[in-house]
Amino acid sequence: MLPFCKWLEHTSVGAGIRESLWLFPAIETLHLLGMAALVGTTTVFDLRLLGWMLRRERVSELAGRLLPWSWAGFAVQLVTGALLFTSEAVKVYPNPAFRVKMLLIFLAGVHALIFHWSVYRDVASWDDSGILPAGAKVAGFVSILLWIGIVAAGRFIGFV
Amino acid sequence: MKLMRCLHRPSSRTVMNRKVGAVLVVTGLLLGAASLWAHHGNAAFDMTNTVRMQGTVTDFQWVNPHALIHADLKDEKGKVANWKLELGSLGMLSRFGWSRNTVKRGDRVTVEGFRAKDGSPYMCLVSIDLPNGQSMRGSP
Repeated sequence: MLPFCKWLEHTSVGAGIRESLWLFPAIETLHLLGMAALVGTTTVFDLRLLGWMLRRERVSELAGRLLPWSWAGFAVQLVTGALLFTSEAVKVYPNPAFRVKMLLIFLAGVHALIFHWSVYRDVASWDDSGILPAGAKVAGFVSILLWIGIVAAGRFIGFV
Repeated sequence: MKLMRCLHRPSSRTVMNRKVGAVLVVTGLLLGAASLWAHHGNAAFDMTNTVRMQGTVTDFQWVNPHALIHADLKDEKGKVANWKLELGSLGMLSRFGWSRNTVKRGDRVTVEGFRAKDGSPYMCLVSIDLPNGQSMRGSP
């Protein structure tokens, strides 16, 4: 993996971002905006699953309105994150905070899939009832914890 | 804090005020701390005093988020080691008058900076005296 990181860093994209006066902070800015879209919309959905927010809205309808923004944000994160990684791959690849972040993102993905295939399958039965199944609450809670962890781990890359 | 708790009866108003106060204090601390930080904190460095050393540049990396100089420097005990000197961001440095050619391999330099607390040959560069006699600022 390290030879790949080395090669990646030396591509014109990696070197360009690393040596530009403004590209690195500009991409970081986009990465922050992408985070706002992704984490903001998933958290609103998670809070709905917990029953703490927008309780009169149907869960399925909120999913339909919020999650496209989550996916758009995720796409921005994937692209901008990859570009930032490319510019300092050799330094970041062994960074423990970076590794924790990647692991947590993977877990968040697995968690979302499990949620989709289990609790969310019979959403129709609890969509507009005030009482949410325990599984939905657990899913919302776990998701919020995972995203806090991802944001924190990302911020800690520069500090460990 | 303890004194405050004794003086104020915990009416809902003072609890509220205390909450607002706490938020303001934390925000102030964060903003104050943020001005000290560039990409990451300076907590790894001993900011209470600077060290001054002489030596020869072995490498200069004009890279984001921090430029780096590697140099063989002699410490106060006469021991020579290859030091890593961390600078500010490229945007900051160019405002201080730096370019990718300001320092090059083989340059005899005098550096001043904050040492890493862990004792490793690593410092946050405050200023550097170049072979042409010019002194440059290394970080904010």
